[in-house]
Amino acid sequence: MNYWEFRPTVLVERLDDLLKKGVTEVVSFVPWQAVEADISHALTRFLQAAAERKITVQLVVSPEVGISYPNSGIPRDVLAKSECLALNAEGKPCVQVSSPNSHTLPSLLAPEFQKRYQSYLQRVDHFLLDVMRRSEPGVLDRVQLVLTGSYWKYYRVPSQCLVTAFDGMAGDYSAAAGMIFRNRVEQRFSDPEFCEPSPASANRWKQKSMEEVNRRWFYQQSEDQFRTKAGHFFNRKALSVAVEQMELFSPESDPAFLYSRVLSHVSNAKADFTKLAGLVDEAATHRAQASGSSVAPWVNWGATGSFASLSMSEKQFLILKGILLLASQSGGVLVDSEEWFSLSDSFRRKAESLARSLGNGEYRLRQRVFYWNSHLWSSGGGLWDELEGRLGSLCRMIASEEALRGEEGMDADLLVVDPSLILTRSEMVHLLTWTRGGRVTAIPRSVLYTERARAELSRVTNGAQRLDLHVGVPFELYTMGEGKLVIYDSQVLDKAESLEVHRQFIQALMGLGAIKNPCVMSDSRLQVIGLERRGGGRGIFVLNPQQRALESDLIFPNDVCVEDLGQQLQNSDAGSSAELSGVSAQKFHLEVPPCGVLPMQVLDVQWEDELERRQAARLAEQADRMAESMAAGALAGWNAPNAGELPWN
Amino acid sequence: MELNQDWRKLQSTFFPSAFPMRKQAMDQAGPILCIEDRGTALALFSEGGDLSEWMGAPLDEIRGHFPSRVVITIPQSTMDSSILESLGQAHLDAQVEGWRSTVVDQGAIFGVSKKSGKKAESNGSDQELVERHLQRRRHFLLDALKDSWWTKVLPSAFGIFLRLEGGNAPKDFLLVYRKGKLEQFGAPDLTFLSSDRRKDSADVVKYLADRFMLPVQGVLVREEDWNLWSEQPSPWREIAWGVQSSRVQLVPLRWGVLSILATRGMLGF
Repeated sequence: MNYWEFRPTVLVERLDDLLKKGVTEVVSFVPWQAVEADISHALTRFLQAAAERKITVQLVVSPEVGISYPNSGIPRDVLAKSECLALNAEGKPCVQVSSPNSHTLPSLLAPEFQKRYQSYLQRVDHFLLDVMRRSEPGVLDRVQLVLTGSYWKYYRVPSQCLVTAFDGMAGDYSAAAGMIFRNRVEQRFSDPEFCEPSPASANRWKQKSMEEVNRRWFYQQSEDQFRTKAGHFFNRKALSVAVEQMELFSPESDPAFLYSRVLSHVSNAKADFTKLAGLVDEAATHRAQASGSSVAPWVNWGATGSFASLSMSEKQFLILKGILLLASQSGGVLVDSEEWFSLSDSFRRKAESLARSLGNGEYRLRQRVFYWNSHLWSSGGGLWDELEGRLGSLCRMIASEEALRGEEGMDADLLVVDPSLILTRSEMVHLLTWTRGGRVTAIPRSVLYTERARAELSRVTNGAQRLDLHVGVPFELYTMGEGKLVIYDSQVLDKAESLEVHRQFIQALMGLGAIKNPCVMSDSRLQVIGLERRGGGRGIFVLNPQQRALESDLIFPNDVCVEDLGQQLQNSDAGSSAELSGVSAQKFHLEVPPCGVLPMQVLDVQWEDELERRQAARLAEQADRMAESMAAGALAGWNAPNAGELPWN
Repeated sequence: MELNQDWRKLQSTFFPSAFPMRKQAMDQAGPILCIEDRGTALALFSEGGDLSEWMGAPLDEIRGHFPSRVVITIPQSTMDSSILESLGQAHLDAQVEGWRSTVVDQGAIFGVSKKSGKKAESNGSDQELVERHLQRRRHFLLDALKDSWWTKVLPSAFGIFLRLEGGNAPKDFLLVYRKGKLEQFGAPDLTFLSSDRRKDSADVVKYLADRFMLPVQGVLVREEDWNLWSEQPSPWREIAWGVQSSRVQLVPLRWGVLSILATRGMLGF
């Protein structure tokens, strides 16, 4: 619920009503314009009223799209200045079709915007101090400030992202952004690592041909900085308020949905449900980082956008799909409170129990394949498309080396590095170390390595066992500890006229990493989401996005035991045992109702054994690392070995 | 929120059932709308249908595959320009109207018009056909205030205060028109009035007129009636009868307003 949509008296009634219905946590956007015009201290009153009712409030303080405020809350005077507007890769304004009005997006890099944005943040901070001053101690204990990825991912060309949402080049091409881009490029390549073997070598990184590569890096870096700066601001100022990071997707406001939304409005028709459902998949496979940790993905379904035009069953489908794909990654779905309570009681109970189960970590989406791209919101090329097409939500795009360091990164089995990535020595060392832990890494034979990175790679590969292979693409295969390193020829991929080349290569990589879909449907219109269950077993969810019931076979690679999960999810002691009493078979015939989701629990002994084996390899690697770090701490003069070297040999 | 553009309230008040005509079966599907670039489909839309596999296909192929469907195409550059031009409009409804006009004026229509049985291999010249195949979101009051002769007799700035009675508390809504355009809409802030004065619609209308510095016409109607009329394209006759039988109250009772209501109700224009 958005506090600014209600008058103070109504707001209090609304909070009471929500509390009565069992709501203890609400999310509200804080539109910039609402804060600047908040002479009646509506935000202060809202926080006080929520605190009195012990309701936790999450305030989204980053500028966001998809909120039903004029110009999505951006001050009109900011949008009136052409120098403050963002331009997409075609040099056109980035248009947002939204209610109550469509508008253009401002450039987050424009100096004027930055100045105004700082004063907005200060005003939010002022409101928080005001609440603290006026209220009982602890009033802000249940308040969290939420920072999001803001407009960065929406700086895209609508016509380039019609088939795949994050196709083409994303980024702000305005003059203001261009100036900062040049400065940052100069700064970056003045680093000694880029000036080898001679200082003149730095120029090769700044050539015109490197423009796209550098822009990708620049946009990613700018987004990271934007998040970090806002985070630091609040951490410094509002000391008692927790600051959370969230990656918020508003499918209705996405450029990939722009033409569809325009056409549905023109014909006064309900929105394209299939397209919206597809965008939830995209949200689940792109993972941002902030301050060294992974940012949970959320989807926002507004109350006045395309979502509102859908039928009840379509809305329910989108909510369940969002919960399955995002809550299983510590994220979730934002739904307007009125929309939520317009859904049936039984559906809400089901969705709540599913969300609770996923939120408790009972089930989680394990993404075993990572794709490291230089920019999270730009095209990942043919290899990414192939991976996403084959594995769906089992793969994840990342745009930072830090994503490999966390628990989820350590859990991945295969990493594919995009050819547009510039790799430095430290990144190369980390990649190689990561590979040694029983994983497969595919890196391009690229000119985009620094001399030090190249030297590091040569040093490690020179002594390693090498195999030359050609599966669609020529590549070299090296064995590194428990893992495997693949160096592939990206130029062959670029020149390939047929997608078959990408297909064969990805298939080969998946074979090396023992990556496979847990099961397949004989009817490709049905989608399967597989979640791993804590303590063994899996949850398999079959989704039917069609408007009619579909019959299909669910096929596993070997015999498995299957049981209905729906009932268990609604019981609080859901599935405490990994043993199932259901039928054991390889193939199951299903009928999935229109816009339906069939939940099943699966026990697959072979799969469990495979997982255990991998786990053992990872533990061994972690033990090695721990030994190294302990040695570094305890033994004076100890130097950590280079990647690929074992210190005791 | 201060009265500005409360989209949510506008939808729930004027379009209580968002899509009343959605009962049609899939085989009676509406037109296929297509944004094209040099004969290739960039984006396709058909209500309730998934045409994603046709993206990037030549238009001829699409028309060949759907011989019994009406296909309306519009060049991407035209649509882009229309979207950019519409940004100057105050709100989404006005912007949508601009896009719609572009499609009607510059779109090309192909296929068979089922209603007339006429072969419509027109090349964008038959605007009527496109118009007929594009459903339009209509509300009798908003249309009358925008498109009819009323615009010539109404003042350049005015407000309509709507009070829907019947529930626990009345639902209030204010429309503010300036220079013939709907400028602001939403529930008016009446917190400056005492609870007794808030109940008195004449007091409320006077307060709003002072506050917005324009004449405000109050209309009091039962919510049930309002929702029923909102589903109809032209319920003016019922409204005129409603005024006569006091089911609809005008506050204040202006003879000018009464006469234009009566004209529309009795004579149909």
